[in-house]
Amino acid sequence: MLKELVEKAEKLEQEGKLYPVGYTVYSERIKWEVHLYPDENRIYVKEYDGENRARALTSKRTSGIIAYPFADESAYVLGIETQKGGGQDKNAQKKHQEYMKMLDEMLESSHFSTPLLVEAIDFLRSRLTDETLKKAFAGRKIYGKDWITFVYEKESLKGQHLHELCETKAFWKQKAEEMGCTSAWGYCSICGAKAKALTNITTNVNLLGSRRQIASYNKEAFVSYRVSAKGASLGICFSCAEKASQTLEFLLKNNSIPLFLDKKASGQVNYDSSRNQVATFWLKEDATVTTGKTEFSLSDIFLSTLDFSEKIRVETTEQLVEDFLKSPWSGERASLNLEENAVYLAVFSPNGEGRLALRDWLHVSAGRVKQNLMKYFKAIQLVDAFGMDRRPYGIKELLEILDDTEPNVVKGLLRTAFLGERPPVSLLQSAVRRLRISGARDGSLTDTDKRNKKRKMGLDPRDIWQRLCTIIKLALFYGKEEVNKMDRLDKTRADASYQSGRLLAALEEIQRRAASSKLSSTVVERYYGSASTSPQTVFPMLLSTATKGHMPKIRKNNYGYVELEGLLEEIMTRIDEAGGFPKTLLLSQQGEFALGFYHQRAAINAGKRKNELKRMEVDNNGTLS
Amino acid sequence: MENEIFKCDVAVKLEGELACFTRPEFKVERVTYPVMTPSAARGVLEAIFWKPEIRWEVRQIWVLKPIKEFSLLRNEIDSRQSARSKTFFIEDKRQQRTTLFLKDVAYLVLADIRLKSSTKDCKKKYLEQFNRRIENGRCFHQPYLGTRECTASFEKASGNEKPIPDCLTIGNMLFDLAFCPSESCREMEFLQHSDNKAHKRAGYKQALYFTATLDKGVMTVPQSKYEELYGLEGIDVKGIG
Repeated sequence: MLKELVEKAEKLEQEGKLYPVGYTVYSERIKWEVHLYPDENRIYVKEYDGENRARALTSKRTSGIIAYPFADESAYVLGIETQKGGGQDKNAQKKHQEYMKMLDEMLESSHFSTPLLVEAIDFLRSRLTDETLKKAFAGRKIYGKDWITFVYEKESLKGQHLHELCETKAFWKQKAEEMGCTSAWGYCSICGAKAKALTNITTNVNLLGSRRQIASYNKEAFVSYRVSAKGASLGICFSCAEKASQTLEFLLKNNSIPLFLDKKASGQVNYDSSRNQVATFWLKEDATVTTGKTEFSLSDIFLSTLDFSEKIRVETTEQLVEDFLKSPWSGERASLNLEENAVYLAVFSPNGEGRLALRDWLHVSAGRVKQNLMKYFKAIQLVDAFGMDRRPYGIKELLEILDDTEPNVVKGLLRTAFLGERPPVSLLQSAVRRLRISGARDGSLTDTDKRNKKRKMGLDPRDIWQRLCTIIKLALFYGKEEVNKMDRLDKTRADASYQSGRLLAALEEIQRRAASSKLSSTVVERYYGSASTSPQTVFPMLLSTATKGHMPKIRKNNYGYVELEGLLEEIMTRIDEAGGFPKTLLLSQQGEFALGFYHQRAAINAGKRKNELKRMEVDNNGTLS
Repeated sequence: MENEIFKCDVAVKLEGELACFTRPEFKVERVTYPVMTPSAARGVLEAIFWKPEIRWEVRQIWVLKPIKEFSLLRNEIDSRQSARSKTFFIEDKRQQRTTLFLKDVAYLVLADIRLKSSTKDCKKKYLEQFNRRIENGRCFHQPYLGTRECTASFEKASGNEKPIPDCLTIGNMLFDLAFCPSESCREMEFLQHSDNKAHKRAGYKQALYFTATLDKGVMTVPQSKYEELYGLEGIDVKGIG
């Protein structure tokens, strides 16, 4: 993975998207901007209100006192002891001494050979020594953690922040390399170059709000890979480690999706939990794809599997599969080298103290991803509650309704989508179990919020049904021939469990039509669980009630008796042909039952909607005439 | 393909439920290489048969089953345990670590035997010893796939093995660790065999890498790397020099 990150770094560097080595953007913004006017012997301090600038960073500062060139905290620059929340920084003086030492070092460094820059360092040093700079802050509330940056207002340096000059960056790069490496030499496992062995990576990666190292160098771990006398580890050189860290930082910030967030009992996310999983994704060659008149980024299309961002506007599954995946891509580069272009997907978790754990690593050609995505989208294609085509669900949407989802199931589904592996086994079990519980399938199941008060999931029951049935369809039919047929009602399906599901939907409709008022609950609320596990015990009784109690009412009121009678007869014939009502249903058969029920219900709703539209049309015509 | 298998001195088929050929750059939160490393293959061969007079040279590694990864989070300790190490309270050393394993693996290792210069017997003697051992399923210790917990079962190649059709650019892969005797850099002590005796030497170890690619399921190990290794270790092998 590091090799691919380093390769990506080279491209990002060319595009100017990476920070300089050893630099990063902090969450704390720069507070003070100090302008030094040497010609007028004047110092002007103002509150900084510009963009959040990248500044020097080293992971070693968490436990030690290390000064940064020019831009630093006021405890370092001025020795300010006062802290924002009250209290004093006992190390403020030591920090200030370190900052002064850093300025001396900079004066001696060959990186700062320009006379103007030497003059700037000297000017700053002298104003710090005689405390003129400190006096310039008089009357202002300044705390030890406030960041200060410097601008030397003379000749070519005018208006430039000193910590952003090329000379400063080169100086800090060398300094960071000295801090991170030992004198031992070895071969880098990424680039193969002979370089000094690394003991510490300067740039940490921000994962879920906390900074972590891309590769850890624990003292005792894996002794066999250690140059014992020099205290260095085998592995990567400074340059590769920095490039990989910077690239990963960039990708996590711009191109990542949290797949699983572990919640505490209070409902808050536990960001340090090793159950958390964040996926980041990139392509070897970025490319755009033109479908119809719209141009898309290739990575946006691939990411759509996880979550549909606003960048991709698709109304139906057909549109996505047809336009994006079936048609030959006419992108300038994408269509030419699909097989050579690679898709990389890494799943990370936070682990231990400041470590980053790679939980999964997918490396596959874009051409293969295209084929597998087509197969995957076919498998999750399902009509909506009114029998219409709809936008496919992203993996996140599909799994958020399963409260018992394990982190590994998310990864499993990703592998199904990208690599064409079988969907995780537990998916079917979770979805079927959830459908059996009435509170879970109609969305009234409660969850606890942070104040321990119960609240509803807030989802439309039709949406929950659709998501659960999509999962069932994916689990049952992924990669099978029937996958194309099973996105909508298949009346001819010779499967007693599927036909039993259809029968329950028909019986529910009969009950609804027979009732003169709107029903708060139907046979489904009461009997779905038992009907989906042991049809033989439930259906004879339900059929008896329907034929003796409900059907006469429908005939009397003229609510579509012939249509429903025909439907019942057709389903019963299919069940008889398939060997009658099954005694008990296995898990996969329960899945078939759910799909049969969902398909039939959608078909009934579609018919109703069609009739409604016809009626409206007739009404409109009548009004017009 | 069948002829290709028997071009080398030995062809051993290895299978296992799990494998972890740890990348040196990811050694704490361990991540495996996608394919068996030459040093792991050498380790397996040495577990089956080894004599101070010979060196194993791995020529090719065939991947026989699709590459599948699998991650596992476990409670581990942050240091090694041994009979000689001091006792410690386990909860003080507790660490949760993730390992990215390979699952359900099968490899075919094609290797040659190289005799050291001091060896008087012919290669056939050692080859027959090896063949007798592998046919009887004998080994000095249980061979493993990268880490000791991933045990491997082994058998002689039947000749019908077929590699997977995948191609993959792996990048730099650990070839082996060279234990180099040195008077100036005395970082460690190790045993080196010469004149049929084990001698304690002082020196350092150096990792060697090679550019690995999987071409239609076959990873070829460059022979030149063995010459570099022997050069660093100061070993005389017949046919080189």
